[in-house]
Amino acid sequence: MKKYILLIAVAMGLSQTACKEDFIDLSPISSANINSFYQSEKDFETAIVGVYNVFQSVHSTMWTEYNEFRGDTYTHIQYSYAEISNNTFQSNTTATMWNTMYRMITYSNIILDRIDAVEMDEGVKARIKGEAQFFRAYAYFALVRIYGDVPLITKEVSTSEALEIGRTPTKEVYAQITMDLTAAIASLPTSLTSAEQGRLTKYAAEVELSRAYMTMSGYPLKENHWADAKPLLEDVINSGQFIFSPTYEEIFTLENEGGAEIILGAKFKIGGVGESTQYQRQFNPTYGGNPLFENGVYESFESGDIRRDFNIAQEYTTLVGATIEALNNTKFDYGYDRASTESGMDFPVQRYTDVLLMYAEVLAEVDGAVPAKSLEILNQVRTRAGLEELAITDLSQFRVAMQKERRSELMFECVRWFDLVRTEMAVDALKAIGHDANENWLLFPLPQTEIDKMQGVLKQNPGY
Amino acid sequence: MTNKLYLIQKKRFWYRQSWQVFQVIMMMLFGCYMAYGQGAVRGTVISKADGTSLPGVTVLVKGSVEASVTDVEGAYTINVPNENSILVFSYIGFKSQEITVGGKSVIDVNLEVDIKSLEEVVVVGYGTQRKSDVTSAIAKIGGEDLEVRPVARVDQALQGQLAGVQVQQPSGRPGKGAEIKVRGIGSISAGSNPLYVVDGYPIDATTFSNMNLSDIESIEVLKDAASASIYGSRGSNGVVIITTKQGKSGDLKLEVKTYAGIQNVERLIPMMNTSEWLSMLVDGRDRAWAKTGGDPNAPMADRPRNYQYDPIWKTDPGSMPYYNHQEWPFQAAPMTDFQITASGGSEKAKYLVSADYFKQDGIVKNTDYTRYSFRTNVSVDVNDFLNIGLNLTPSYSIGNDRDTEGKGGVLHTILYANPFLPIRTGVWGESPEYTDYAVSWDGGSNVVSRIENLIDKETRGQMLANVFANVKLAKGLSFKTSFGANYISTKRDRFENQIISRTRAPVGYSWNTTSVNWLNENILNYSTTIATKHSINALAGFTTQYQNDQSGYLKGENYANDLVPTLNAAGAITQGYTQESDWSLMSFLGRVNYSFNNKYLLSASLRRDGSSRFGSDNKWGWFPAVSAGWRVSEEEFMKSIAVISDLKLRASRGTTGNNNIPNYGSIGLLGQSSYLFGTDETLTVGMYPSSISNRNLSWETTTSTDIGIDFGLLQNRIYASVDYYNNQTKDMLLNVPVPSTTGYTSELRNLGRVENKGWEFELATKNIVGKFNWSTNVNLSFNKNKVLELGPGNAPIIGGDWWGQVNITQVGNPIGAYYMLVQDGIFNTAQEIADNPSWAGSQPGDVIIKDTNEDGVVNIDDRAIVGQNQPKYYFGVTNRFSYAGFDLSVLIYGLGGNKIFNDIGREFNGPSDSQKNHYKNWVNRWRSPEEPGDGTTPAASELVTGASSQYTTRHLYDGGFWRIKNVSLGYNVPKAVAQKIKSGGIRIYLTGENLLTKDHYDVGYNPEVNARSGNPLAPGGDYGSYPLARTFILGLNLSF
Repeated sequence: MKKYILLIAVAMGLSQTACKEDFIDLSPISSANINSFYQSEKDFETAIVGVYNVFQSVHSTMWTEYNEFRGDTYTHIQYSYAEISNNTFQSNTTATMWNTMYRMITYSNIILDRIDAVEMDEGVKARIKGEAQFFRAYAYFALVRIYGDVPLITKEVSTSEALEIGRTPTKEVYAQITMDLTAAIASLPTSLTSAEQGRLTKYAAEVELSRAYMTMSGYPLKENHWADAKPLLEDVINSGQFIFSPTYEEIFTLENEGGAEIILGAKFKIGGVGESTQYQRQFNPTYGGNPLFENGVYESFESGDIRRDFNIAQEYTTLVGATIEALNNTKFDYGYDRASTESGMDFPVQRYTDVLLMYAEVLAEVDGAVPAKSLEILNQVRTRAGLEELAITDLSQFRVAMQKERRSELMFECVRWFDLVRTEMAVDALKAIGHDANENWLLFPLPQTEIDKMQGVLKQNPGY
Repeated sequence: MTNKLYLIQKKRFWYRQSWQVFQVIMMMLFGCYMAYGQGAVRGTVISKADGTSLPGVTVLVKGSVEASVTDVEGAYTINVPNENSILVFSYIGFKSQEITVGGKSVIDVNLEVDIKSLEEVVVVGYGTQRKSDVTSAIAKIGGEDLEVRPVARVDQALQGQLAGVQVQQPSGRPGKGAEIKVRGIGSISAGSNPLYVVDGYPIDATTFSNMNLSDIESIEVLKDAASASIYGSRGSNGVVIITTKQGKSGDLKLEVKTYAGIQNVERLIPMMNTSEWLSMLVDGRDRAWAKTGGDPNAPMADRPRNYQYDPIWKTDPGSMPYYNHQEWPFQAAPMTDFQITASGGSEKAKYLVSADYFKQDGIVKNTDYTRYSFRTNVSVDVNDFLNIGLNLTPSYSIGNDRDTEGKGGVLHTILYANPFLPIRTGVWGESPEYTDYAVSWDGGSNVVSRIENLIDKETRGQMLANVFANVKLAKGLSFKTSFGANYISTKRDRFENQIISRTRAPVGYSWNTTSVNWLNENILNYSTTIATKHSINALAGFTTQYQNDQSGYLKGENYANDLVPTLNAAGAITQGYTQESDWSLMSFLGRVNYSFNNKYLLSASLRRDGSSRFGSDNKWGWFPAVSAGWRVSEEEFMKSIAVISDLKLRASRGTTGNNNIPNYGSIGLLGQSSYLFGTDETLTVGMYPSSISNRNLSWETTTSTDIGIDFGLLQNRIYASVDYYNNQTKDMLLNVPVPSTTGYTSELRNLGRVENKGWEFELATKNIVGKFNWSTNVNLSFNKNKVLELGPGNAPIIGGDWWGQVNITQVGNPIGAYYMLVQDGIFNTAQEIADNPSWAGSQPGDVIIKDTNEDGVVNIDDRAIVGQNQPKYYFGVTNRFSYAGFDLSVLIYGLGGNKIFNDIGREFNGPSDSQKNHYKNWVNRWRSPEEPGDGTTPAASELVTGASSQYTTRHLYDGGFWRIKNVSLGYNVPKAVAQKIKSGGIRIYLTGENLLTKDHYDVGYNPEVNARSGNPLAPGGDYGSYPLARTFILGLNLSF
């Protein structure tokens, strides 16, 4: 009998080894999970790359859709492009932008929520925090310009918490944007090693904040933040890291896409590794895209402007060799590889010439007049474009000239629509290309699915 | 043949134990015996009741190790030490008898039947119970109900046998399983499969597929929470308990069973012949030409190409050849089975060993299924307090398919094959007829090629092994511990050669899965009777179970030629992955059964489950149940009512769960992405949270109430049970949309409620008893399924495939109800269209769609709920007759209140011919107001207008049917004759399966079809199913 009691004891003992709580704590084997991540410096380095990836995805084609198709550059007869151009939205067309931006915000929030508890090199920590703050601000700046008031969420939230958070007034969203960017400026590096090229710098944050201040100074907030932008832009200009490119053409080459004219680019490359941009395939008819141009785009260039023929060709050759007479975006032809039908062209998000033009505008608005420096910058840009210098003393004339110059210089670079909105020229511009537009057009509709999911907490924009 | 076992010295304990095991092994291997004897007592043991001899009776010398067993004639011989020795005769079902030798050398014994022990025993979770003590809802099938039908799979044998257990056989593909639902569907996304438990081991439903039916002693289905809640978080869909046969003490019993049969397709689907089809084609193309304003007299060449036709098709369609292609894939297919079972043992050691070979050719050419299954069950009483045992079940199966089922499958594409072109053989485009008419078939591969060339082989090997030890610790107290493992390995290899590959280049695929599951159970059992009236039976247990699943996939291309199909011949492996996941479950369980005076019965059970699948804030769940019974017939006041032989009232209530949620559903997962850093744009890997964590994620919970009555009349010649149940399921697992402001778009949450209510009736009658016997078993079940609550805002869920989302899951209706436009005739004239709301663009000959929302506009918003696929009732009737060695049984199975959606009609039940043959109903199409046809089939038109090509109720069919599922005629050869060939019994039988089906579904092979098996949101679709076979089988059972 004793032997059996022993046997039972052994059996019980065996089962006891399994009788621990951790027996039922299993983690996924074939996919990484949140519980085991965000634990080390390496994890956060990996996590921030995940945010850069979202930033990259915005600048493949989505950013162009929401800017150039909305404004007076492109139109289309099909797909969501047509809906954006004609303001005839299906219920969920704008969901992709909304979801993408909130993914960028969520990933940044998780990093910011969790990083302080982890011991790591303080320099690395500060930089990753700065990057996360930049991207959070970047996403809110995009959201607030596209949708107006949006739910402001600055920490990791559960579903039930998210269901309570409705639209936050634009002003408060901007307060968060300026706060985040100010913090980012303090912790982002001033220079990058060659291995770090493509990452954020203090100057990228300064440019973004300047753009936010300029936007806040215009429609719809119309607060005067011109003076806030001035020192930021001066810091970028005086850093000596950026160079006004001697020629316009050389900016848009593969060699110079990370060059001294570029402050921030969304990076792409070919090679079948999922890092190429769809830009050409969507917007360049030579490679399969087929957008149409709004009236007046080609004509908006002054005669003799070398930028006109650089940006727009009047005909194109299809892949099968037929020549078609139609306007065609040739600016970003570089980087396209016919063999793999991929494109590796980096999309310029912040460019030094843009910074100079912003500075010229800021100086004039701060002074309430046209200072010599502003005019000098304007003429510097015009001279490079092969145009004669202007002599403007009237501020309102300067403003018109400035926006015209920005349009020509930054054609297809996704600044035009938001420039039109903040300077209150958008409705007129839309009317000029035949739309029966009104102020409602200045914001996009919220995705209907989100309104449905929020069960009354989220309200649609007027006009939709 | 006499088989005696002698045991060695009691002192030499361990030696004895191994000697016993050795004997068992020897018996298994050689069926031989060891004997020695001297001065013996002999005699014969017969049954007192009818005088028949009793083989296998254990004869013991009390207080010694001497033992013997009676042979076939009931004879025994035993050595006795002296004349004071006492012989003990014991036999299952009979009262034991003790006789003092007293110097006699011949002792004949009459054993008396023990009524109490003969009473039916029911297997319940972690134990057994006398049927009369059961207070919950348990259905049982055993004995001849299982024996009489030689079917390929165990699940098929359950069809029509049990109330509350719906067995649906959607496919006749060899080796393919049935779907079992116990008391309706209680889940949207966590599955409706019941839990299967084989000899106490809870297993995956797929393990079932390789079991040999004749190894099974009984199958019990635990239907209500009171019986199933002992299985806790896995009991919601019911529990199917399978108990395999064990060896019995006695001589070696050798059984040989074999059968052979032939299968044929039950019916063909009526399609048009060549002239009928050409008439539709001409009609439709002319009509389309007219609709576009074309001149009917213009030359054919003026028309668009798809409106043209060969004039002879109109003038003399009879001159065109006609081929009934549908006959081509089918064949008369043989099936055979051969099995051998050896069983027996001593009073202390019992064994059963079986081997089975099963081979079934499919009724579709080149499909088949072969299975080898083995079983070893051994149990040894080491001494009077320790019993150890082993169950070992290896099996292996091989199945071959040829893309027979589903969209684009052989049985789909063959239907619409052009009836005037011969069936195509060889490579695409070989026959000139095809290029002449430019008839496109199936996007580039042809049916015949796939039947002849495709390799698609699935193999499955599995081994379920379980060892156990049962220790009697004290009187009434025992402890059982077991350790088992279930290993399953599957592999599927597919090779498309140059002829059938869409790219004309060979492609090879290989999938494999490996699953290892282990289980440890420790159960303490106590039973006692206090003051003769209070009977208590209690158990407590602790179990742990773990499973690891691995899968892999490879795709190979760039083969040099078709010679070698395996992936080593592929020039490049172009796709592949491996994956691994696991789950674990830890449980505590307990149950107390109390009975007072056999009259008042009370049972309570409780299980606590902790599962790796549940969220960290919800790791453990309680699953309680109580039930009570009152055996009214045991009361004194009932004894005088002679007609009522048995009457029991019972009621139960309890909670079960469904833990069939994803393995890591509660844990937020990370996705991988990348970005480019550095002047050389180095790819840098990043990660992001891809799914939201839900720390509260848990099982689905079902609370069920069951009220039942069992009664027997006229000494139980009439026995009936009636049950009413109400199952309320809550916390259904749903993938719920969440605000994107969370960073995610959906989340797995426990939301939603559904209820299943129903009635079950079982009736067993012995109509005639005597030389001629006739008995009848009837079961009838009603179930009503209703969704009570869904996700946020109760948003309905539309189900189905992209080509036809015709199901809706909506509050107040059954899960997956049919939801589509309602057709209300055919427009005859333009005036009718002008006068009534109509679908935009309707023309005479187009279908009338009912304005169901009565808003004066007919559009997609007029879709309405038009029925369900879940049957409202189902029944089975078995009649059994026997006379002088002959027996006949007839099983009829049927169901009703359900509908079937003919998905396939999208392709060839529409108004345009699309170069595809159509169902026969197009002969009765609308041609003109004077020739309106059958009133539902619209006009043929290659240019489709109105709603004629929309999914409407035109494609929805009544799914009710009844079937003569099985007729078996058997003959048991008289013993005297059998013994001439030294056989203990010979049975010859003839069986027919699926002999007759009465249904309303004339556009499909099988009214049980379910194209999207396992998806309750879109049930009952048909996109070409493998028909059930009509089978005739001749079988022979021999025992020695």
